[in-house]
Amino acid sequence: MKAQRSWLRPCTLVYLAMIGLTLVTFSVGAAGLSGLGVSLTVLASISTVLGSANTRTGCL
Amino acid sequence: MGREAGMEGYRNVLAQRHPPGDLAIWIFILAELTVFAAFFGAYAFTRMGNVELFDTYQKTLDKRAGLVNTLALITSSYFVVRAVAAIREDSRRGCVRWLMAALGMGLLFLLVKGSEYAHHLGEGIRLSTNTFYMFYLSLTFFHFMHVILGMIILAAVAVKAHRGGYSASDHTGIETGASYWHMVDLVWLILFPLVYVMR
Repeated sequence: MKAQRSWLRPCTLVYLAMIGLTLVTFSVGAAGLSGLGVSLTVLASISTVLGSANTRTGCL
Repeated sequence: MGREAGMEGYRNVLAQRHPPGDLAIWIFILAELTVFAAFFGAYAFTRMGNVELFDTYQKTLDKRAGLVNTLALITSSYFVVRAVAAIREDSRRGCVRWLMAALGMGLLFLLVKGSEYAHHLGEGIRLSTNTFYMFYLSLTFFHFMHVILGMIILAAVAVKAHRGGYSASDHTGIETGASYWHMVDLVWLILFPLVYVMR
């Protein structure tokens, strides 16, 4: 019997999160926002997603 | 017998603890990331002393091209992940298809970045134009060359997969290529906000 598998794999979720973060990053730049806080927030968000992707799903 | 089974289990645990792919690629990746880190550090350090110049010329960059390139590389990394998942399920054809899709995204990156370079060169911008362009051109071109190398690796892996060189139990080569490609993607994910967005 074939095991039922969700079509939304963990790596797909990570991918969608990465797309979201990229759009946030672009919006920050397009809106002309500045400051170390904004920059670090975006970088930290990306690092967090990459780190959690690696440890929780083994996708990356 | 029991001890052998235990050793087998222990070996499996050790195997799972190792990073995917060949260990040599991880030494190479570490060396590459060190070089990029030095580049990024030099960029940030130089920018601290030339904030106005960097902000002024950063505005001349095409952020939309940067966005398209970021989406292209993230998507290509996703396709590579699916290629690894496919070969783990012993789907050779699926693996090759995902790898070809990843190569397509890599090609899109090269085309967009190439058009950016053509635009800059058409405007007479060179490495010697100013400090910002010196960093922008050298950093992005260094990464551009890594994308080309990554695509060559992925193409070689795809050809071998097409010829039946990998299976569910033996696919270290695909994981090795995938690891390198993720490194190329990771570097761009730092480069994009650093060069195109941060002010």
